Amino acid sequence: MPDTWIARSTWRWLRETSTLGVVITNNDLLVQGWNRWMEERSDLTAAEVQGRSLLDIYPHLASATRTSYEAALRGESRLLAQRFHRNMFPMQAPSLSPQRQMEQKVVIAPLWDGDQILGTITVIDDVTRRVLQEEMLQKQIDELEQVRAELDRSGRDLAVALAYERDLVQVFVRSLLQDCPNDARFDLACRYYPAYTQEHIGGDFYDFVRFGDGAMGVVIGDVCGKGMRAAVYTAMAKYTFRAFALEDAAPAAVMMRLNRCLYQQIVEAGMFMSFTYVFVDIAQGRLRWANAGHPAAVLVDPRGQTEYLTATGPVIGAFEDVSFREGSASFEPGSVLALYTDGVTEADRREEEGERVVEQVVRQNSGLGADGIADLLHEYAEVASRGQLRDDIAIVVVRYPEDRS
Amino acid sequence: MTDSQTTDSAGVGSLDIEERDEMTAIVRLVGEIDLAAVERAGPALKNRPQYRFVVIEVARITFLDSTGVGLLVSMAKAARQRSGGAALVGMQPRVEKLLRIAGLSPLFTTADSIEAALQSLQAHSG
Repeated sequence: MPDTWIARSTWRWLRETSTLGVVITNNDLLVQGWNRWMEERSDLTAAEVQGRSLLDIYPHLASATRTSYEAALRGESRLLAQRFHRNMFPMQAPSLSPQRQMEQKVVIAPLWDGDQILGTITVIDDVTRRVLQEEMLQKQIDELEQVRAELDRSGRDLAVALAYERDLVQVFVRSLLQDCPNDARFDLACRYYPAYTQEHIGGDFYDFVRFGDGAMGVVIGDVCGKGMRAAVYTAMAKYTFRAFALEDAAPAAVMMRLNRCLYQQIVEAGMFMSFTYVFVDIAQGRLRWANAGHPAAVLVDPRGQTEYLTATGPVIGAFEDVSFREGSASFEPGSVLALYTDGVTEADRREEEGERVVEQVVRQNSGLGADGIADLLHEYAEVASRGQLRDDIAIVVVRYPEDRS
Repeated sequence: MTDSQTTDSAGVGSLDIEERDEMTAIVRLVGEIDLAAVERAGPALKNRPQYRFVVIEVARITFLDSTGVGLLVSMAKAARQRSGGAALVGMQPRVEKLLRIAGLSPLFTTADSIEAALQSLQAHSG
């Protein structure tokens, strides 16, 4: 059919090309040209199809393909994309395992000579590999999407679990702290403030033990570490302490037994707790205490003299067998005892003399009463930490009222 | 062989472990060694063999809380269990005071330099 040299040379090139299928027909859709690509993929040689109707060769051509030929013969070009038209010219995609139908992009266009339509040209592009890649990509995207959704879900679960644990720790910690006992002979105040960040809650506690003969025991402690683990050890320490304290009044002996008992319970290598136990013997006007590695409580007498209840032994849980010394001091009307945890003295991390500040607050305000002193110590910690306590604080103030009439 | 791992070099607290050999580690503590710093160091510490000799440099600590002390104690105890020990280098008043109050000083020896600390640890091991 092509009769100019351009048409001839173009057709020769198209016939040999291996990247696209090219079919030329006349106006009756009888095949005039069938290139090598078509021969290889259709299993039909050019000689076999020469002069045959395209509609005979492919009797099951999709209607969109058929109407495209009608359009071509009217002078319109059509592009049939694989996305919308599947298997336009049924062929196997070569060299793919497993075998699969070829995905095609097809152009059907009129062949003009001046303003006269001589026939049609069909160009077929094998896009199977591209489609496979897209499918694979889509599969990967779907899988990633699934993973993401799962992560989202487990992230939510984790957040819920963490929030639940924090609530649990808070409730648990609060349950370990009780109100001050109602005892008219003492002016008592106790305070507990959790750390600004909830993860850091747990570990500080205080407790009061009352004895039959009117004496009172006060304990304050700090379990290292935070969270549920610390809270569990705090509970263990609190009730173990109670049991030993009620059995024997001597603070050093209580502390030694407490250590021996808790040492066996502690499984973590770095876990320990500091305690100060003060036995307030009001009949004798004396304090007896043992301090297991805890920041020194401050005792201010009515004349403004200060005594520190310094450590009389190491922290609990670090050594298997240790003994504690016992300290004692007079406790008279007007005396104030302030116990606290390191959250107070270390509220300002650059302050190395936190105990001095506590001592000053107590000494200069001993007339304020236990509540006033406790509030001032709390206020100091809040200001020193710029309103963001990074550690829990616990405060217990015991004041011996001057006038008991 | 040296093997160094820095858990956090920016600001706050950081912990750096240098492994001299399978039995010996140099631990450098810098900044605020608190719960947050210890938790950050957790993964680095967990997958470590238990060292027999641990030298801990404390000179650059600016803050140490009970969790940080707990870290020192756990390293010292692990070393002692293997008939070794832990030594502190670059002792400063803040750390010294905390350990003294807590009664934990006996767990550590002190030395002026890392090399002196190693020598003393190895000499006293048994």
